[in-house]
Amino acid sequence: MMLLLWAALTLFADPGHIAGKVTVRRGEVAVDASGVVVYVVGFSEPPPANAAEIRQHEKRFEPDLLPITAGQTVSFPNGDPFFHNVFSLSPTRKFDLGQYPRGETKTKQFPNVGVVEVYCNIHPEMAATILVLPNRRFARAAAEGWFRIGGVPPGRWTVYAYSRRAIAPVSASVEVRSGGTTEVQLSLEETRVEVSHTNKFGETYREPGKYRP
Amino acid sequence: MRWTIALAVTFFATSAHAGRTRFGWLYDTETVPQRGVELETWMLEEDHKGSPPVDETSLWLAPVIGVTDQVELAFPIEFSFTSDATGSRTDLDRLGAELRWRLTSPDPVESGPFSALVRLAAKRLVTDRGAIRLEPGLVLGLDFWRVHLVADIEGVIEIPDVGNVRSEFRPGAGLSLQIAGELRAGGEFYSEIGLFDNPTVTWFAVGPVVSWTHGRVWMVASCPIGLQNITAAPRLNWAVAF
Repeated sequence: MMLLLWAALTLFADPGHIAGKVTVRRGEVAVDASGVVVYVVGFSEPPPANAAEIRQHEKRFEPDLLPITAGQTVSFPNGDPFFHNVFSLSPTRKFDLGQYPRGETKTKQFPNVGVVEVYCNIHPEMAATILVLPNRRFARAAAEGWFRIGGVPPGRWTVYAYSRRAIAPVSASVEVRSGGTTEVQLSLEETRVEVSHTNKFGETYREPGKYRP
Repeated sequence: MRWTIALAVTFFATSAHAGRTRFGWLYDTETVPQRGVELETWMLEEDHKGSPPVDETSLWLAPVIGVTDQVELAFPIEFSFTSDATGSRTDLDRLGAELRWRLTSPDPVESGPFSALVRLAAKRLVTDRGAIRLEPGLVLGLDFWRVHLVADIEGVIEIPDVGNVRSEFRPGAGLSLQIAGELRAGGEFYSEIGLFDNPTVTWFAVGPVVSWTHGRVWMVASCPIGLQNITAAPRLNWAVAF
């Protein structure tokens, strides 16, 4: 009975906001925080109808960190004048899109929450991370680190800040009140360089330029 | 760090699609990804087939090309060594093309537990130069837990330059269980049934099968024991992907 009452109050209560700042440091130096995604966990929401996008452009994935909601689709358009082969060996979502040229787009749905590391089988320098999250309450931090997440249901949740270059995300517990704004400060240490990875067969990539232009 | 949001459940532990089969004598439902290429090889034996008994060893070689994520095209070359009471011979048997079309998404997460593939091969008989051989087939797959089930219905129709049409029905079924990683073991039943006045020997066999995928290589070893008109039908398939 109490649980039902709590659920009803949560459902019909005005949502609140979570706002604050993420400080990103590399050693002693504060750096650009625009590569950080801040998200809230503890409750689930249905995915949006529209597809998110990771574009292949100049041998890079853009963006290289994409937050989505579980069940959402991601499209992978190739904007380069040569072939790419997007794949993932992550247990959360294994896939292999095969090779496709400029102008073609392939899509994948991501039904399960987790982290999906995405690579190109032809170009080892291409790497991206898809954060498949349980809800739509996430935001990308501004370069100075400011962020604001709206529509958060009242309750006690955990806020995470995730960077591809940090060894681990940081978190804080927050209490969100109906119609209110909860302030939070997070601090990330970026120490990780891009981790080397294998191709889709689990092998080391061939020496760049040796077998292809 | 991944556990902070990781509630992930791996739907299937195997890779999305690699064009491999997990059976010796049965076709399977996976196809090579778009613009992928595999070099596929089969070595098969039919020991003491029919009466008087004939021993056959066949070699099947083909590049397999992923035309789309659901359609692959193979160009097989088939050799055989035959030995019976009158002697032995080695032949270049057949050349041709084979189209395999997976009817469901190649991604098991998107297709769900059921998969289906139809195939059609058209081959020239090198030893009967005016003849043509057609091989239609339908493969149905079901995945649950660590199990992969397949029902395979194949046909062979040979239209010779002179004489009657020869036709065969080749039903089979198999079960493959994931043991660890990409190592699987199971069993398969396979049969070749001559239809109408076909002089082809009808035979049935059932036996164990082991399959393994490692990086760009997959291989299958199968050793069916004869139930009728054959003593054994061991077979080894392997492929290298590019």
